[in-house]
Amino acid sequence: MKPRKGERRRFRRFIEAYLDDLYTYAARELDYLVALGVLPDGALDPQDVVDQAVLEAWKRWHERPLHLSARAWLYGAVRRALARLARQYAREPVDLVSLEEVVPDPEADEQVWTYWEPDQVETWEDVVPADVPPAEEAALNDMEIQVLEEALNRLSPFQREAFQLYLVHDLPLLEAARLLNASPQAVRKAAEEARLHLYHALQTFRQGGAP
Amino acid sequence: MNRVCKQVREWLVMEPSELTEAQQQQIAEHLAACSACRRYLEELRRIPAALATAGRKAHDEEARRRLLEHLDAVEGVRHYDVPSPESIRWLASLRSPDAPVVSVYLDISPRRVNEAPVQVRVRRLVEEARRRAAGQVDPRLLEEALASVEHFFQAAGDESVRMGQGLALFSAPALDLWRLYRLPVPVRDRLVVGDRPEVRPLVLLAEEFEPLGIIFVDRVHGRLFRFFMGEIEEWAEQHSTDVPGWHKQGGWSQARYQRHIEAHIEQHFKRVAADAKVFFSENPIARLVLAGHPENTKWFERFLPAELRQKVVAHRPLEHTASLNDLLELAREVEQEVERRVEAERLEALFNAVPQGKGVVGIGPTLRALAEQRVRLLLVAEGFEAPGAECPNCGWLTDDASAHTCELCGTGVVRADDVVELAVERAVHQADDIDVIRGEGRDRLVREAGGIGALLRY
Repeated sequence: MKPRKGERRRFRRFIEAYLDDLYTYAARELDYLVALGVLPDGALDPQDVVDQAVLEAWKRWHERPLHLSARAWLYGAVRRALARLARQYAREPVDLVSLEEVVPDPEADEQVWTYWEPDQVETWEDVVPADVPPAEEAALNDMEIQVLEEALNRLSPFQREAFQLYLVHDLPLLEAARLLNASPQAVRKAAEEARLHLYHALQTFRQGGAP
Repeated sequence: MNRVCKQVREWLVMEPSELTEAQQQQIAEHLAACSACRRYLEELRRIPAALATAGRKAHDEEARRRLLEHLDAVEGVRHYDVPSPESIRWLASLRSPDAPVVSVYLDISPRRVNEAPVQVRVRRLVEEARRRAAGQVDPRLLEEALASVEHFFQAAGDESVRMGQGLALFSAPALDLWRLYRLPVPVRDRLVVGDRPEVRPLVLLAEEFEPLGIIFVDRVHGRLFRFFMGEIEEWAEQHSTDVPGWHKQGGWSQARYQRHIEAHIEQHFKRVAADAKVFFSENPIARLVLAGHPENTKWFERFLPAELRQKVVAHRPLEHTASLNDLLELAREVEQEVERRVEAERLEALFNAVPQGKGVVGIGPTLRALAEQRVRLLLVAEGFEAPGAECPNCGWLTDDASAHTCELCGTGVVRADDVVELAVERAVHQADDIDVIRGEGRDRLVREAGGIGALLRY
């Protein structure tokens, strides 16, 4: 069964709300693939990736698992589109994460979820409340951002994805975990390790050393 | 950085739940006192925020417009296109004394389509309608209306029967009326020309398929659905944020003071129940299914308001990995199960009522009861038809197809190919309910009651 009119309106509303986020995500992922040498520079446009992802997500809208929010579903669709397009352009075979994982293998999923209780996972952001830095404070200078971007690309693929989805794009931990087909603990741990790695790279740069 | 700073920074990378209360307390106290560690924590937080801000790119406006247009153009091929109650009411209110309105109902189930192609059946119906309506309506307008229907089926070919089990079409070119609905169940072939759309079959369908609510609930999610005639709608319009609307992932600061997981879950269940109350009062349902882990659904049911609790007909296990398609499947199963159960109960009530004179079975006695305005509930076997006659003066019905005059007023009667259809029409105005019996109950009704029966008011 395909969605009805109301669903289309709803889907469109989601798209309009998240299009820029998806575009940002796709652009950074494409940069990463270029940095890895998987894609030649300029081979793909993030716009094409997002367009494909959105149309694909709509076609499969009714296959979306109940536990996956529309936002996470859309990120999953971008990952799928990236993998598909990257495969077309790949100069040599690459071991990209299978984006078919967006719809998790039920058995694998069960193994992950049987021991996990959502209320047990908290973050230090929750513990030490909200000194959320305003946007202008959050902004580092261009050089520092460049250092962070480069450090980000040196992370392991899993750390990088966990950090991106959970901390940069602020997906709920559960959903980031579901997209990555991993346990929430593993995702949180990988994201925190990535954050530490980036912190040290930034400190090293500030102290005048090579990151 | 001293030893305590080092220790605290190690702890900060760990999950709070991995630490003892004392360690957490120590962290909080240390952060309050040590500006270096506070800066460290702030820097850690700033890194993803800075990357999110710096990497932010806007989708080009032109590209955004193209994408959304493309999305609109991608025709979601729907299996069904069910008229809403408002559409049915609107159609029922239409009157066209001058130009004829053509209403077409077709069984487009694969079995029926294999037996007789749609185009052939439509041609036959059109010819029959042309003969019947001759002399009663403006021939030019009649031809125009019938031609619009015939042309559609000729042009659409097999496309017209690709989706759905039944088809309802209303056409009146003079009124600029053209409505096509694909129904989730087969309907009997008929073509009616009149001064208004023939909506009775749609009304019967709406009565037969009452809206079903489904609440999927687990310890962190709650989602509300309304299932009606093969379509499913989700509570979403009221939410500006994503669905599921109750997603949460702990919230440590709350958890510190409210450690009991049960309290969290109960809080979550209360919110879902409160939203369910709003959703289902705006989108009424006849029955409610609770889906999810049985332990959760039983627990959750206690939080439902009484008016919804009374409507719960089933608890169904459902994994959180299930998709909307699985949910549709579940809804169909429950709907059919409940329908069959209600049908069985009604049949039993009919057979118990007959010996007491409170029920009738068979076409003749049922038509008499209808003429006497005594029918409270009409039960008809699906697909049951019988020839008969109708009095054009007083509306009297008989199953005697060879009758010449009305027994009540003496007027000459008109032969009816299917007097059952007319019986249903009469019952719409006098009975509380009409039930088309399907499945096993249908066989019993045909075998033991001649295909039709009625519970009587007195």
